[in-house]
Amino acid sequence: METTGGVSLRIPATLESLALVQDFVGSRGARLGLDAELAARLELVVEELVVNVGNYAYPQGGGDMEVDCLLTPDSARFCLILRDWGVAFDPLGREAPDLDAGLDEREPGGLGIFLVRELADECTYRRHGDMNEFRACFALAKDGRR
Amino acid sequence: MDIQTRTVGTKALLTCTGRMDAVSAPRFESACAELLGQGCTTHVADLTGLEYISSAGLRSILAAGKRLKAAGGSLSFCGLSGMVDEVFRVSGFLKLFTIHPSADAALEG
Repeated sequence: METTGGVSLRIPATLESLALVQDFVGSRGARLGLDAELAARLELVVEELVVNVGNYAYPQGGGDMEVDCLLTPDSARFCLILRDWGVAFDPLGREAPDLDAGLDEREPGGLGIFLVRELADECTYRRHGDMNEFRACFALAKDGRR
Repeated sequence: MDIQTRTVGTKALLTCTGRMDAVSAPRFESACAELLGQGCTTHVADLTGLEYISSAGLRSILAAGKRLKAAGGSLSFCGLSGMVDEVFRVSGFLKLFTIHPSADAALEG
Protein backbone atom coordinates (compact mmCIF):
# COMPACT_ATOMS: atom_id res chain seq x y z
CA MET A 1 0.00 0.00 0.00
CA GLU A 2 2.84 2.37 0.69
CA THR A 3 6.51 2.78 -0.07
CA THR A 4 8.80 3.01 2.93
CA GLY A 5 11.48 5.62 2.74
CA GLY A 6 14.41 3.34 3.54
CA VAL A 7 16.14 3.38 6.91
CA SER A 8 14.45 4.90 9.93
CA LEU A 9 16.10 6.87 12.71
CA ARG A 10 15.90 5.57 16.29
CA ILE A 11 17.22 7.92 18.97
CA PRO A 12 16.61 8.94 22.61
CA ALA A 13 13.26 10.72 23.06
CA THR A 14 14.66 14.03 24.30
CA LEU A 15 14.74 17.62 23.10
CA GLU A 16 18.49 17.17 22.48
CA SER A 17 17.59 14.85 19.57
CA LEU A 18 15.67 17.60 17.76
CA ALA A 19 18.53 18.78 15.53
CA LEU A 20 19.26 15.17 14.44
CA VAL A 21 15.62 14.57 13.54
CA GLN A 22 15.45 17.87 11.62
CA ASP A 23 18.53 16.88 9.61
CA PHE A 24 17.12 13.40 8.92
CA VAL A 25 13.68 14.59 7.79
CA GLY A 26 15.09 17.67 6.06
CA SER A 27 17.40 15.56 3.86
CA ARG A 28 14.48 13.29 2.91
CA GLY A 29 12.39 16.31 2.02
CA ALA A 30 15.22 17.88 0.04
CA ARG A 31 15.61 14.69 -2.02
CA LEU A 32 11.93 15.00 -2.97
CA GLY A 33 12.44 18.63 -3.93
CA LEU A 34 9.89 19.99 -1.45
CA ASP A 35 9.44 23.73 -1.91
CA ALA A 36 10.54 26.13 0.84
CA GLU A 37 7.02 26.72 2.12
CA LEU A 38 6.28 23.02 2.55
CA ALA A 39 9.75 22.38 3.99
CA ALA A 40 9.11 25.03 6.67
CA ARG A 41 5.73 23.50 7.57
CA LEU A 42 7.34 20.06 7.77
CA GLU A 43 10.07 21.43 10.02
CA LEU A 44 7.51 22.88 12.41
CA VAL A 45 5.55 19.61 12.53
CA VAL A 46 8.78 17.69 13.28
CA GLU A 47 9.64 20.04 16.15
CA GLU A 48 6.19 19.95 17.73
CA LEU A 49 6.00 16.15 17.58
CA VAL A 50 9.52 15.62 18.97
CA VAL A 51 8.89 18.11 21.80
CA ASN A 52 5.59 16.38 22.51
CA VAL A 53 7.14 12.91 22.76
CA GLY A 54 10.03 14.35 24.79
CA ASN A 55 7.60 15.90 27.26
CA TYR A 56 5.00 13.17 27.66
CA ALA A 57 6.10 9.72 26.49
CA TYR A 58 8.53 8.76 29.23
CA PRO A 59 7.80 10.38 32.61
CA GLN A 60 10.67 8.32 34.10
CA GLY A 61 12.98 9.30 31.22
CA GLY A 62 15.22 6.99 29.23
CA GLY A 63 13.06 5.89 26.27
CA ASP A 64 13.53 5.97 22.52
CA MET A 65 11.61 7.38 19.60
CA GLU A 66 11.73 6.34 15.97
CA VAL A 67 11.35 8.60 12.97
CA ASP A 68 10.34 7.39 9.54
CA CYS A 69 9.44 9.12 6.29
CA LEU A 70 7.49 7.61 3.47
CA LEU A 71 6.17 8.54 0.10
CA THR A 72 2.91 6.97 -1.03
CA PRO A 73 3.32 4.88 -4.24
CA ASP A 74 1.40 7.41 -6.31
CA SER A 75 3.78 10.10 -4.96
CA ALA A 76 0.72 12.05 -3.89
CA ARG A 77 1.68 12.34 -0.23
CA PHE A 78 4.79 12.61 1.93
CA CYS A 79 4.28 11.28 5.45
CA LEU A 80 6.28 11.75 8.61
CA ILE A 81 5.90 8.97 11.18
CA LEU A 82 6.95 9.26 14.82
CA ARG A 83 6.83 6.25 17.14
CA ASP A 84 7.51 5.84 20.85
CA TRP A 85 7.06 3.05 23.38
CA GLY A 86 5.94 5.26 26.25
CA VAL A 87 2.66 6.16 27.94
CA ALA A 88 -0.40 5.83 25.66
CA PHE A 89 -1.12 9.39 24.53
CA ASP A 90 -3.36 10.58 21.71
CA PRO A 91 -2.35 14.18 20.94
CA LEU A 92 -5.40 14.51 18.67
CA GLY A 93 -7.63 14.07 21.72
CA ARG A 94 -6.52 17.45 23.07
CA GLU A 95 -8.89 20.38 22.89
CA ALA A 96 -7.98 23.21 20.51
CA PRO A 97 -6.91 26.45 22.19
CA ASP A 98 -9.41 29.32 22.38
CA LEU A 99 -8.22 31.49 19.48
CA ASP A 100 -10.67 34.27 20.31
CA ALA A 101 -9.46 34.77 23.88
CA GLY A 102 -7.83 38.11 24.74
CA LEU A 103 -4.23 38.45 25.94
CA ASP A 104 -5.19 38.11 29.62
CA GLU A 105 -7.35 35.03 29.10
CA ARG A 106 -5.21 33.27 26.52
CA GLU A 107 -3.61 30.11 27.97
CA PRO A 108 -0.06 29.30 26.86
CA GLY A 109 -0.51 25.55 26.19
CA GLY A 110 -1.97 23.45 23.41
CA LEU A 111 -0.62 25.40 20.45
CA GLY A 112 1.94 22.81 19.34
CA ILE A 113 -0.45 20.02 18.38
CA PHE A 114 -2.95 22.58 17.12
CA LEU A 115 -0.30 23.87 14.66
CA VAL A 116 0.51 20.30 13.60
CA ARG A 117 -3.16 19.70 12.77
CA GLU A 118 -3.42 23.00 10.89
CA LEU A 119 -0.18 22.75 8.90
CA ALA A 120 -0.25 19.04 7.98
CA ASP A 121 -2.89 17.87 5.51
CA GLU A 122 -3.81 14.77 7.49
CA CYS A 123 -2.91 13.48 10.96
CA THR A 124 -3.56 10.06 12.44
CA TYR A 125 -2.74 8.50 15.79
CA ARG A 126 -2.70 4.78 16.54
CA ARG A 127 -1.74 2.73 19.55
CA HIS A 128 -0.17 -0.56 18.44
CA GLY A 129 0.37 -2.73 21.53
CA ASP A 130 2.86 -0.77 23.64
CA MET A 131 3.70 1.70 20.84
CA ASN A 132 2.34 5.15 20.00
CA GLU A 133 2.42 5.98 16.30
CA PHE A 134 1.66 9.45 14.97
CA ARG A 135 1.51 10.20 11.25
CA ALA A 136 1.46 13.62 9.67
CA CYS A 137 0.95 13.61 5.90
CA PHE A 138 1.47 16.40 3.39
CA ALA A 139 -0.11 16.51 -0.06
CA LEU A 140 2.34 16.85 -2.93
CA ALA A 141 1.67 18.09 -6.43
CA LYS A 142 2.49 15.69 -9.30
CA ASP A 143 6.00 17.02 -9.81
CA GLY A 144 6.78 16.60 -6.10
CA ARG A 145 5.97 20.21 -5.31
CA ARG A 146 2.80 21.77 -4.06
CA MET B 1 18.26 33.17 16.97
CA ASP B 2 19.98 36.50 17.42
CA ILE B 3 18.22 39.38 19.23
CA GLN B 4 19.52 42.92 18.90
CA THR B 5 17.94 45.57 21.10
CA ARG B 6 17.74 49.32 20.71
CA THR B 7 16.01 51.59 23.20
CA VAL B 8 14.49 55.03 22.68
CA GLY B 9 13.22 56.39 26.00
CA THR B 10 10.73 53.83 27.31
CA LYS B 11 10.44 52.19 23.88
CA ALA B 12 12.51 49.20 22.84
CA LEU B 13 13.04 47.65 19.41
CA LEU B 14 13.99 43.97 19.44
CA THR B 15 15.33 42.80 16.07
CA CYS B 16 15.06 39.02 15.92
CA THR B 17 16.90 37.04 13.24
CA GLY B 18 17.24 33.32 12.57
CA ARG B 19 15.08 30.65 14.18
CA MET B 20 12.81 30.90 17.22
CA ASP B 21 12.50 27.20 18.13
CA ALA B 22 12.17 25.12 21.29
CA VAL B 23 15.85 25.64 22.05
CA SER B 24 16.14 29.39 21.43
CA ALA B 25 12.62 30.68 22.21
CA PRO B 26 13.09 31.32 25.98
CA ARG B 27 15.66 33.98 25.07
CA PHE B 28 12.92 36.23 23.66
CA GLU B 29 11.00 36.23 26.93
CA SER B 30 14.17 36.90 28.95
CA ALA B 31 15.19 39.75 26.61
CA CYS B 32 11.79 41.41 27.18
CA ALA B 33 12.06 40.86 30.94
CA GLU B 34 15.50 42.45 30.98
CA LEU B 35 14.30 45.51 29.02
CA LEU B 36 11.30 45.84 31.33
CA GLY B 37 13.71 45.79 34.28
CA GLN B 38 15.52 48.73 32.65
CA GLY B 39 12.25 50.70 32.51
CA CYS B 40 11.29 50.01 28.88
CA THR B 41 7.57 49.19 28.72
CA THR B 42 6.72 49.56 25.01
CA HIS B 43 8.33 46.72 23.07
CA VAL B 44 8.32 46.30 19.31
CA ALA B 45 9.75 43.08 17.85
CA ASP B 46 10.96 43.31 14.24
CA LEU B 47 10.67 39.80 12.78
CA THR B 48 11.86 40.66 9.24
CA GLY B 49 14.91 38.41 9.66
CA LEU B 50 13.07 35.60 11.44
CA GLU B 51 12.91 32.51 9.19
CA TYR B 52 11.14 30.09 11.49
CA ILE B 53 8.91 30.02 14.57
CA SER B 54 7.28 27.12 16.45
CA SER B 55 4.79 26.91 19.31
CA ALA B 56 7.70 27.37 21.73
CA GLY B 57 8.24 30.80 20.14
CA LEU B 58 4.53 31.61 20.45
CA ARG B 59 4.62 30.56 24.10
CA SER B 60 7.57 32.87 24.80
CA ILE B 61 5.85 35.75 22.97
CA LEU B 62 2.59 35.18 24.85
CA ALA B 63 4.37 35.15 28.22
CA ALA B 64 6.24 38.38 27.37
CA GLY B 65 3.04 40.02 26.10
CA LYS B 66 1.14 39.15 29.27
CA ARG B 67 3.95 40.41 31.49
CA LEU B 68 4.28 43.72 29.60
CA LYS B 69 0.53 44.29 29.63
CA ALA B 70 0.42 43.64 33.39
CA ALA B 71 3.18 46.25 33.79
CA GLY B 72 1.11 48.82 31.85
CA GLY B 73 3.18 48.38 28.70
CA SER B 74 2.72 46.61 25.38
CA LEU B 75 4.28 44.19 22.91
CA SER B 76 3.76 44.65 19.18
CA PHE B 77 5.35 43.38 15.97
CA CYS B 78 6.46 44.29 12.47
CA GLY B 79 8.12 42.52 9.53
CA LEU B 80 6.09 39.29 9.50
CA SER B 81 6.45 37.19 6.36
CA GLY B 82 6.37 33.62 5.05
CA MET B 83 5.82 30.84 7.56
CA VAL B 84 6.14 33.24 10.53
CA ASP B 85 3.17 35.19 9.20
CA GLU B 86 1.24 31.96 8.58
CA VAL B 87 1.92 30.64 12.11
CA PHE B 88 0.81 34.00 13.63
CA ARG B 89 -2.38 33.92 11.56
CA VAL B 90 -3.29 30.28 12.24
CA SER B 91 -2.68 30.73 15.99
CA GLY B 92 -4.83 33.85 16.25
CA PHE B 93 -1.78 35.97 17.19
CA LEU B 94 -2.57 38.53 14.47
CA LYS B 95 -5.69 39.36 16.51
CA LEU B 96 -3.87 39.20 19.83
CA PHE B 97 -1.09 41.66 18.99
CA THR B 98 -0.76 44.90 17.04
CA ILE B 99 1.17 44.45 13.78
CA HIS B 100 2.87 47.59 12.40
CA PRO B 101 3.75 48.14 8.74
CA SER B 102 7.39 48.94 9.64
CA ALA B 103 9.76 49.40 12.58
CA ASP B 104 9.81 53.17 11.98
CA ALA B 105 6.00 53.34 12.04
CA ALA B 106 5.97 51.29 15.24
CA LEU B 107 8.43 53.53 17.07
CA GLU B 108 6.70 56.73 15.96
CA GLY B 109 3.24 55.52 16.95
